[in-house]
Amino acid sequence: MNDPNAFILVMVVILGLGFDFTNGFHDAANAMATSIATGALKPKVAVTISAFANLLGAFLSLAVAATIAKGIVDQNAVTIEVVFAGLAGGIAWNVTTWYLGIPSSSSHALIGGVMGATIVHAGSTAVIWKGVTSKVLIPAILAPIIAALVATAATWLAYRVTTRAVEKVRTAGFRWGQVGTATLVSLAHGTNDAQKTMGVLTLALVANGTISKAASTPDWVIISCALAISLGTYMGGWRVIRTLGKGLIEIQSAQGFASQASSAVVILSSTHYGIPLSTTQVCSGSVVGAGLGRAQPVRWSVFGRMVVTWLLTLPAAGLVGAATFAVINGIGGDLGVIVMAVALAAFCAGIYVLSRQSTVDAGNVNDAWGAQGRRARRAVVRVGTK
Amino acid sequence: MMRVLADSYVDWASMWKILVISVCVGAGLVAVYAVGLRALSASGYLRVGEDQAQPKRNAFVLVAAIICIAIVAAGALYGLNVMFDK
Repeated sequence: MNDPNAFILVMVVILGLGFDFTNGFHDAANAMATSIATGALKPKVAVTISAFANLLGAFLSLAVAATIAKGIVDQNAVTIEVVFAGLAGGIAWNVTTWYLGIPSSSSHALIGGVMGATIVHAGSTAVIWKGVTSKVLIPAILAPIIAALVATAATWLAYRVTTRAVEKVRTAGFRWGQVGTATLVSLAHGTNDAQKTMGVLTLALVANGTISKAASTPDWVIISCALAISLGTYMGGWRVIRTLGKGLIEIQSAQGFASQASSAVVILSSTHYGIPLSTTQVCSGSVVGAGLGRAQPVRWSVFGRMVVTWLLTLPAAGLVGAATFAVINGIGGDLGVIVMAVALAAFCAGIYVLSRQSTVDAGNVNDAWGAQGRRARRAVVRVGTK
Repeated sequence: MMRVLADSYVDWASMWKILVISVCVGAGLVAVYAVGLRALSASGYLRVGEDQAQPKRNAFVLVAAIICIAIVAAGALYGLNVMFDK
């Protein structure tokens, strides 16, 4: 351990795995919220299937690119401190939005954190603003719209075709369809998101000179990232699952299947064309589309809160990333890293304590929306007035 | 604003492809699956419960149902291929 950066490198690995955990925790909803809400799967069974699919997906994704926010910030400006601060911003935003029960993109949170840290480190010229627009902002606007259009058509057809089918066969069939499509989305999540954190850790190792640029990702990085995201998924971000499954519309299994199939197809076709559409925004848009396709009321206030959260993701995570970097730089050395790691841990612990005031778990995740919604809002007001 | 919407910022060609393919494949496969379920319930091979009249068995309709569901399964497998091919 004569490497002067050994300590911060270890901290980056811990934060990276922590971010990966919140990523799985937060995004379990994308794959499983609708299946849980319609009763196609029991809550615990759903997150278990999703966790295994994530694990499998993470191990099957072979080509890990040692990058973070490539095409969005100048890669020469990315130091190990920037990576640390970026991860801190991503974690802080993921934990906050989990508490509020809002599905929000983990990738965008990480990008925001890295952008903030980069601006403090190397100035705003190190941010490729064109990349921000074309890789984050515009896809963020289009993802939910595209998904909603697809899901509207799919839902309308699903109901239209099966109006005369026997109810028992219809419900069972759509529930099986839900399980299949939800597993597909979980697999896709494992291949995409686990790989991103593997890339971040590999980048940190390369930047530190621990491994050479040409070296492939070490096995322990692949294994630990795969386990972290799967464990997060298994823990189930029940607050987010609840909002996506119960908050937007009162969902039936035909709609759950149609929306999840739409999400899977949109995610896979965007993967194919190399357009970074956020899984979270796609899945949220699909659920809205499932409501529209059946001409049933959508709780636009809930969707509106999601959109506001999506708009705030880059600046909010960016501020945390910037502040983290500034403090580390200001204090300097390992002490700065320790101070910010402790601050982040305290923040997460605080949010966890707050969340205990209105616990959402596998037992009450499917409760009727109104009452719990009011409780959650009261909790938010309490936070606001403190 | 218009500058932001120009081609240099957004890969509109790919976006359109994603939209059109997703609507066709996504809604298409959902519809095929729904047809499969419709056929399955009309085939008479599944018990539909006590309170409903059991349809007469029809092997042709059952085969049609199986083909529909197989098409959707093939679509899912192709999706897996896209996922791991990247």
